[in-house]
Amino acid sequence: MKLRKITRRDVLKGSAAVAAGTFAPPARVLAQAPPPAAITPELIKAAQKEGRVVWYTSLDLPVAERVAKQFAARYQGITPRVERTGAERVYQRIGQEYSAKIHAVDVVQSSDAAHFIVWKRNGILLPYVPEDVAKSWPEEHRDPDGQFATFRAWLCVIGYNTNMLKAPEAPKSFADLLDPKWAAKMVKAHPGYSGTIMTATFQLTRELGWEYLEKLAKQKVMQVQSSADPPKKLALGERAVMADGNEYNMFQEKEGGRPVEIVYPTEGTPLIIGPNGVMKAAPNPNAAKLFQSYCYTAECQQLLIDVGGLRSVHPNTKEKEGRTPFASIKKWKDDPAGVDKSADMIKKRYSQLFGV
Amino acid sequence: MSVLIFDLKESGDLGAIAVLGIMMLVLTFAVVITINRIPGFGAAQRLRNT
Amino acid sequence: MTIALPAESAVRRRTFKIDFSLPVLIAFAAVLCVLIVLPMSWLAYYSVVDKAGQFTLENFATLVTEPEFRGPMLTTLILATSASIFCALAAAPMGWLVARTDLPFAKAVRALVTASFVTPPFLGAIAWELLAAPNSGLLNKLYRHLTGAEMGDHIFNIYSMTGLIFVVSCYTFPYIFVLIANALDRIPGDLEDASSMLGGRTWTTARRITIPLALPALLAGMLIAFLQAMTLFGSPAILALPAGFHTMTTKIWSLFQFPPKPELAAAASLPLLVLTVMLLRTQQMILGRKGYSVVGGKTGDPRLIRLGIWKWPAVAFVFAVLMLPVFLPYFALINAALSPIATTLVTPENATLKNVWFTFGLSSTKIALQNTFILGALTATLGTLMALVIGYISVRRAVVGHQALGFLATAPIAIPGIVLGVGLFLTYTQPPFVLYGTLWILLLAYLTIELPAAYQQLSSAYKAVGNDLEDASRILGATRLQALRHITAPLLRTSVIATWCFIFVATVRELSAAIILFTSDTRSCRS
Repeated sequence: MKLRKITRRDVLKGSAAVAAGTFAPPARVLAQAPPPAAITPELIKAAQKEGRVVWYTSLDLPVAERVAKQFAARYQGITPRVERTGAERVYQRIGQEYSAKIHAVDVVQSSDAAHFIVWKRNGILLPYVPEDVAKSWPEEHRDPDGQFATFRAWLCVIGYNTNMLKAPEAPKSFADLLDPKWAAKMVKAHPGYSGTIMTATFQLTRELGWEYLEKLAKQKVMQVQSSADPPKKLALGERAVMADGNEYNMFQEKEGGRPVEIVYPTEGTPLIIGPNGVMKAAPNPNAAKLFQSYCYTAECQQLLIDVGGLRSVHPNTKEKEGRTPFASIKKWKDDPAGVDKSADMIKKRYSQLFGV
Repeated sequence: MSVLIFDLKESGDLGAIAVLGIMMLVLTFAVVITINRIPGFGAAQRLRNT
Repeated sequence: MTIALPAESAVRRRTFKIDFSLPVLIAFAAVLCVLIVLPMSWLAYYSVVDKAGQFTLENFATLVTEPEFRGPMLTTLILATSASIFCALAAAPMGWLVARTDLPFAKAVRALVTASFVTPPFLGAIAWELLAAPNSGLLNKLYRHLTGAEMGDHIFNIYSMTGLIFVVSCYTFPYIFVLIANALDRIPGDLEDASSMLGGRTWTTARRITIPLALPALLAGMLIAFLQAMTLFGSPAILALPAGFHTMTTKIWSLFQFPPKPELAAAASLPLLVLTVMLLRTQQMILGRKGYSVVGGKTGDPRLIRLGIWKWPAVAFVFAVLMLPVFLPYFALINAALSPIATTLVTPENATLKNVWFTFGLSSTKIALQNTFILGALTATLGTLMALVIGYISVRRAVVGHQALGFLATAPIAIPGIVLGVGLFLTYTQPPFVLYGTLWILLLAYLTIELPAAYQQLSSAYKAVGNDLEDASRILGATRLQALRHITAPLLRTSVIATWCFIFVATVRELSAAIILFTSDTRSCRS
C-alpha cells in the first residue's frame, strides 16, 4: 500500500517535473536539424487519411479559428480542432496529459517561448523543419535542432479608449501609468495565465525593476486573465487605459472601428515570440506535419497579418497599411531562456503584489 | 460546455459566451419542461389527496 | 427499477422468504465508499505530507499564518454568511406568498424561480458584468444617461465584495425558496383549519402552526445556501479576481495553477470540510427536534390566505426580486448575443448575427454540446438511483452504520468541486483505475458532486412520507423492497422526477471539477 502511495505521489511530481523541466537527464536530441520538408502529395494524402489535427494554442480564438478554417479549406478532408487557452494553461495541460500518458495534441503553439525550451529539454518535440522555415527564417527565429520556429511575433503594448481620453492626455510610457490619475482606470492581464504577459513581465522587471510593478500594484488595476482581454475591455469602454495587452487585438479592434488607440511606450516595448512545434507522440503525425508546414507558408503568415494583426518574419509577407512598421518600433529584447529560469518566481511575486 | 464558456470568458469573447449561454439555458429549460410533461407526473399529489 | 427484480422472484417463490434488500443495500454502500472515500483519502493524505512525502503539519501552519490564506478565508465566511441571510430575506416571504396566499401569477413565479435556479451561477455572473460593470455596464450607462453624470461615475460596481455577495445571492436564493415552498405546500390544511376552528385568528395560526412547521425548512435552506455560497467557484472567479481578491475556492484553484501545490490545496480545503460537518450536525439537531411527519394519508388542501389590498404590492415585491436573477441578466445576454459590442444596446440598425455564426463555427461547440447532454443524462439517472437507495437506508435506518452512509452522501457538498477534481485526478490517473481523459472520470466527479443535493431532497421526501405506511405493509408480510416498490415509490414519484431534473441541470452548469478533469480527448468523446 505504501508503495502505491509513493507511485501516485510521483505522478504529480512527475507532472510538475515534466512541466518545470527538472527532468534529468534530458533526452538526447539530434544535434542538427533534419532536412527541410516540403508539402508533398504523399504527405497530404497521408494527412487526409488521418482526417484530423489537434492544435493547442494560446492564439486569440477568432484568429486561431480562421487559421484552422483556411487550412481546412486548402486541404479538404482534414478537420483541425483548435483548443485555445492561455499559454500557461496550455503548458500545464500538456504536462498533466503527458504524465497521464495521454497524447492528444498534434501541434502546439505558445506565446511563452520559454515553454519550447522545456519541451525540447524533455524530448517531446519532433524535429521537423518546414520548407519555408529552412528557406527564409532568420537564425534567431528558429531552433538550431529544427524542433520549433517563430510562428508569430507581436508586441505587448499600452493602449487607451479614445472616447474616454484624448491623445494628449493619454499615457506615453510605462512611467506615466504610475500617475495617481490612472488609479482604478486601468486594466491588465495576468502572467499566471498569459504567456504574453509572462514574457512582458520578465522584460519589464528586467528593464525597470520590480519597484515599477510594486507601484503599479497600488493603482487598483482591474485584473483580467488573457492578454487578449484588455483590448476588448477598452473597446467596451470598461476601462480608459490598458497597462498591458496584445498589440494584435488592438489592431483588430481599431480597424474594426472601435475607439481604441495603441501606445508604444517610450522606454521600449516588450517583444513577444510565439513558436509552433510538432509533438513526437502526435496522434495524427502526418496531419501534424502538414499543419506545421502550412503555418509557415506565406499564405498563412499573411493571414495572420491581415486578419490577426500579427507580425511575421516571413520575407514574402506585406505589412498592412496604417500600422506602425515593425522595424520602426523600439523593442525590448526577448529572452526565453531568462523567462524559463524566472517564471515561477515571477508568478509568485506578481500574485503577492496584485493579490490574485 | 461550461468549460468552453469559461475559456471564452478568460479571453473576453463576450458575444460568443452570450450565444453559448443562451443555448445552454434553452437546453436546460427544454429538459425541465419535457420532464414536467411526462404523464403521471403529479400522481403522488393525487394519491395523497384522494 | 432493476433492484426490484430479486424481490419479484421472492414473491413468486414465497417458500424461500429471502429478503434480498440487505445485499443490495450493502452493494450501494460499497460503491459510495469508493466514490467518496477514495479521493477524499488522497486529499487527507496530501494535506499532511510535504513535497518529499514526509509527514508534516507545515501545510496547516502556512494556512493559519500566511495572510494570503487568512484573507480568502475571512472573505469566504463573510460571503457565505451574507449570501445566506440575503437569500432568506428574499426567499422566505416569497415562498410563503406563493404557497400560502392567493398571490396572482403564483405559478409563473414558481417557474421563474426555477429559471433562476437552472441559470448557471457563472453565467449569471457574466451577465451581471454586462449589466453592472462600473463603466461599460448597461445599468450604469443608463444611470449616466438619466442623470447626465460624468464618465467614470457609477452606482454599481460588480467587481467588489458587495457585487459578489449580490450575484451569489441571486442564484442561491432558489435553494431556500424551493425548500420553504415545498414545506408550506405539504402542511396539511387540517391543522390550520383546526387552529381557526378553535378561534385562532389568521396571524395566530400562522405563528403557531405555519411558521413552526416551516422553520426547519428555512434553517435547512439557509444552511444549503451557506454551503453553496462557500463552495461556489465560477462567480468568484469571474467577479473577485478582476477586483484583486480571492475566496477560498479561487485560492485553491490558483494553487493548482502551475506550479501546482496540491498539499496546500488539500490543507486549505479541510477547514471547509470541518465547517460543513459542524453545520450539518446543527441542522440535524434542528430537524431532529422540529421534524414533523405530516404526509401520511388523507389531508386537506392548504388554506390560502387572502392578501386583500396587499395583493399588488406583494406581486410587485416578487417580480422586483425576480428582475435580479432572471429578467435583467437574460436581457443582458440576449443583448450581448445580438450586439456588435457586448454592452451596446441592440437596435434594429446595429443588430447582428455575427456572434451566432462565430459560435457555431467553433470547432469545439458541437462536441461540447454533445458531451454536456450525454453526461447530464447519465449522471442524473445514476445519481437519482443512488440517492434513492442511500436516502432510504439512512432515513429508515435500514442497516447498521446508516449514519455513516448519510454523512458520506452529504460530505461531498463540503468539497469544492475543484478540490474533488484534483482528488479524482490523483486517484484515477494510475492503475488500477485509469480513467483520466475519459468521460467516465467526469461522470464520477458529477455523481459525487450532485449526490448530496439529491440525497437531501430524497431523504427529506422519505421523511415527509413517514414510516407508518411502509411499516404497515411490512407487518402485512411484504419484504422491504416490496414495500418500497408498492408504497413508497409511488409517493415519491414527484420527488424522484424533481431530483432527476435537479441533477441534470446541476451537471450542465458544473464548472469547477470539469475545469481540472477535461482534456481535449474528453471533448472529442473518444473515450
